[in-house]
Amino acid sequence: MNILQRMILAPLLLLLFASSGIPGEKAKLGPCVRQCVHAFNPALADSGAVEFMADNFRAKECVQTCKGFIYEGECNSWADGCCHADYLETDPDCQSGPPTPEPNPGNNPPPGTDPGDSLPPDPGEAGKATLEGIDSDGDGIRDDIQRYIALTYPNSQKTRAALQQAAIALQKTILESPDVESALNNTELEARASECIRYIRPGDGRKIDNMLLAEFLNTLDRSKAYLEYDSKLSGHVFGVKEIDEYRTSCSFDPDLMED
Amino acid sequence: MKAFFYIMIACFLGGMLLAETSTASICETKEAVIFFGNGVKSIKRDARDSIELIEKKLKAELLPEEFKTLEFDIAYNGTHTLPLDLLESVIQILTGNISKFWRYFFGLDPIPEWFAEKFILLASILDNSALLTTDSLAKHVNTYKTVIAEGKKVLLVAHSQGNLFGNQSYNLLDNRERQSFGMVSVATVDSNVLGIHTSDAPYTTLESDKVILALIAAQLALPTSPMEPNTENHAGSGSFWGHSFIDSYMVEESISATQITGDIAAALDNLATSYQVVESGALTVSLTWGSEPDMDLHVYEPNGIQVFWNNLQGYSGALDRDDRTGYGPEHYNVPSCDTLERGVYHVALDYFKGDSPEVATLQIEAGQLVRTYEIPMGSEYYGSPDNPVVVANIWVKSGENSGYDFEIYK
Repeated sequence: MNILQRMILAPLLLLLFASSGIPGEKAKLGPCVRQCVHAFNPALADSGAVEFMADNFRAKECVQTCKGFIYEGECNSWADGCCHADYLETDPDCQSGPPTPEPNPGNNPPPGTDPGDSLPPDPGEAGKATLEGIDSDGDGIRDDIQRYIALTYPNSQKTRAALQQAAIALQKTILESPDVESALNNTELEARASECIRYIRPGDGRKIDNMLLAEFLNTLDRSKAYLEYDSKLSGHVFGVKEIDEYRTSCSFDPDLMED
Repeated sequence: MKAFFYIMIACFLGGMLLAETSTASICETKEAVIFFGNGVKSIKRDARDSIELIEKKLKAELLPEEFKTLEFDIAYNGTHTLPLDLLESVIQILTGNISKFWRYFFGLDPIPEWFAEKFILLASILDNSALLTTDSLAKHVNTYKTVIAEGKKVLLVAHSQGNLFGNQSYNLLDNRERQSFGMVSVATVDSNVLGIHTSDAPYTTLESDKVILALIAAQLALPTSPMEPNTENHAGSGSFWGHSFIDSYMVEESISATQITGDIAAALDNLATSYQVVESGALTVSLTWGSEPDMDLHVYEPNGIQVFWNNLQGYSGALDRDDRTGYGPEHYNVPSCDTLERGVYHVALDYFKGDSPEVATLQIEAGQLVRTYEIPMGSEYYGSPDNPVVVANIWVKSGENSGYDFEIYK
């Protein structure tokens, strides 16, 4: 299939999905989850982002994170979409961790769009409480980083898109690199994102890439996790793409964007 | 509105489909591989930026036909806790602003003196011999040997502690391989370059390199003391501590950058083209092991053909070296993109003959991807040639412009 065919077919397929109601509904927001979100970050719970927050704080992790603050009523020990704090091991709702949404699922805008209009609120110190941080809209990018990118580069859609690609890769490096094999795979993602940034910003790509990493590694735990991931790469050999081919490292087509 | 929104998403995904690796370069034959060997302050992304800078400099320096024959790789050495030690040593001063640490670390903000002093102190008390006990060295040497066996020159541009690894690698090569292995040394913490202790060695150390100066002061009376600084850049250029490969040594139009680039070009000219033991190609798999007589490499090509000692020629590629006397290499290659198939190549091993457990080292190179696996081979791997153990898979996918994209997985 050639490129032109792909470009035509992909929109048609997704138009079909859109008209048939796919993808599905937002996750049901149980009362204890809402309370959990509230306990964790009242500002978010009171905002429109709360529906999305539920995805990241429901089930066992939410309960463990917020134990002691969690709302105990209207929650049962059986499958009712609510994890009961006293039945962590048996309540089916407690058995899965928070879902890890695919980057840019169907309910998110294309990369680089909306520099400020639909930003999640500043998570503040709550955003530093865990390794994964808060990703209230489930786009694979922490809210604080999403805001940093949008507010630092409001005038360049390409730059925002490239940095969002990098942020998704960085999140994988610290959360999903338990062994050498996964670290090797994630470093390829990180490298492709860095190449994309350098294609879009040949003059200062290295600088803004490192500025993003400095912002991303804003806690001791995140710094340790990143260095641990990096240590798994030790002793390995890595090929590098030729500079002339950096455009192909972008997970989007930067040449379709105007700025 | 909803439909419009998903059309936008579709355009994005359409873009993603375009974002596969263009691999025109992997179908071209290379004559030399330039590796960057980093020091322990550099995390992997720093090493990546360093080799990119070397690539840019050589592209500007060499004739296009010369440049086209070069491949660029990173021989990554881990940081051995230096950044973490540094972070933990200054965390109180940073009052919780960890991002600030990284901004200093990457030279994004002016580096305060207390930060530089901590770094220099930690760097100067590193135990160099302890660094070399890791398995990094063995993997790198294995790669150098494979590349040389493919008839290519190897040139290592080593920075800081990367020089220790480079010198040790040289010691582990045989005499024939050494003819094709060169090193250009930058800010070396070692006392020689491939055994050369004099100013004839291709090395560059800045007079303003505070890390090297501190090391020399600390080891003045020792035979391992670093080589003396031999280069002085114009005042005011370079980073605070004068040790960074990119921000101190390769500063645009600096004397050191010119010298290093010239040393690389000269070394490439002077290295001997090695005797080719195995073929290079668009996809290669190399197996080495210890002294036990016979370990066998099998590759199942996407078309179903099993390539091994009893069927050396496949459709895609061939087993161009079968070894039955120990150590290897056994080597499979797809010589050109003309016969490279889209699909999965399964790589399998059979411990055919031997008395003791062995460790098989498997190196796979596909496009920009390089993977090295060390696989303990116990008795459970003994078996018939018809039933080798699949240990890795190479997925060749369609890429842009009729090119290829690769994935290697266990």
